[in-house]
Amino acid sequence: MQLEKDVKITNKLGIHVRPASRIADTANKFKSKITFIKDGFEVNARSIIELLTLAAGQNTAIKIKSEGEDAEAALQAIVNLIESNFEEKNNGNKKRDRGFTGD
Amino acid sequence: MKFSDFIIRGTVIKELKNNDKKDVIQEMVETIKSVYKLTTPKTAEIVEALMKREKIGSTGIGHGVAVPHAKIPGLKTVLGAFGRSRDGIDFNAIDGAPVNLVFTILAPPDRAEANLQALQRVSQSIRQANFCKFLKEAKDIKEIVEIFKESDENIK
Repeated sequence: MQLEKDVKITNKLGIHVRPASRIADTANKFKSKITFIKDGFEVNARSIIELLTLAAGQNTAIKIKSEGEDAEAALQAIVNLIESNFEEKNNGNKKRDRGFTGD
Repeated sequence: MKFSDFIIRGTVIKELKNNDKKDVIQEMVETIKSVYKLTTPKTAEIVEALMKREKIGSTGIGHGVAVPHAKIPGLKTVLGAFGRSRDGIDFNAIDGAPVNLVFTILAPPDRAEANLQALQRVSQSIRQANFCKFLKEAKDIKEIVEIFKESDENIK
C-alpha cells in the first residue's frame, strides 16, 4: 500500500532536533517506509539527520509518503504527531522566564 | 547558511580539554564568549540553557556528532563553535556511540529559522561520506577550517 498526504508544519520552531527525533522514533515503530518531501527533495523519516536537512520551519509544506503493509497506521501516527505540534508545551504563546530556551 | 556564517577559526577547538558533557559545553561557551567578547549573558547561564536543552533529549544525533544548541537573549546572529574529542564524550547520543565532533550553536531567540539553518548545515555535511572522517583526521585548525570551507562550496 502506498499513501500520500500533504501537511503543513505548524509548530513555531519547525522541525528542529527534538521534533526530528520524535518523527524518527515514530517512523521506526512501523514497517512502512516513510518519506518526507519538501520542494521535491526527499528524505527518509527514520533518520533525524535526514529530517534536519529539510530545515522545515513553521508553515513549511511537506508531502508525506508512506509505503508498506502498515502504511495507513504509520501515516496517521506521523500526521497526528505533526498536528499535535510535537506536544511542545510552549509554542511561543506564553512568556518564558528570562528568555533562555533550549529548543 | 554556511559554516563560515557561524563557525570561525577562533571558535574551532582542535582538541577539547574536557571529556564530561557539561565541561565540554562550558569550554565551548567560554571560547565563543572570549572570541566574540561577549560580556552577557554569563557563561553559567548559557551553559545552563544548553544543558536544559540536553535534558529534554540528547542532541547527540549519531555519527559521533552532537549539536548542543539554545536560544540566547541578546544575540543578533548565530554564534557557533566546533570542538573535537579524541577519546569521545558520553553524550547519551541516539545511537549510543561516544561523540567526537561537537557543534555548539547559540541562536538569537527570535530567529527560529536561523537555528534550523545552522542545524541543516551540520546535518547536510555529516551525512556526506568522509566529512566526519576528515574532520576527525585533520591535523590542525587550518585543515579543519579548510574542510568546512570545502563543504560550504560543495553544498549550496
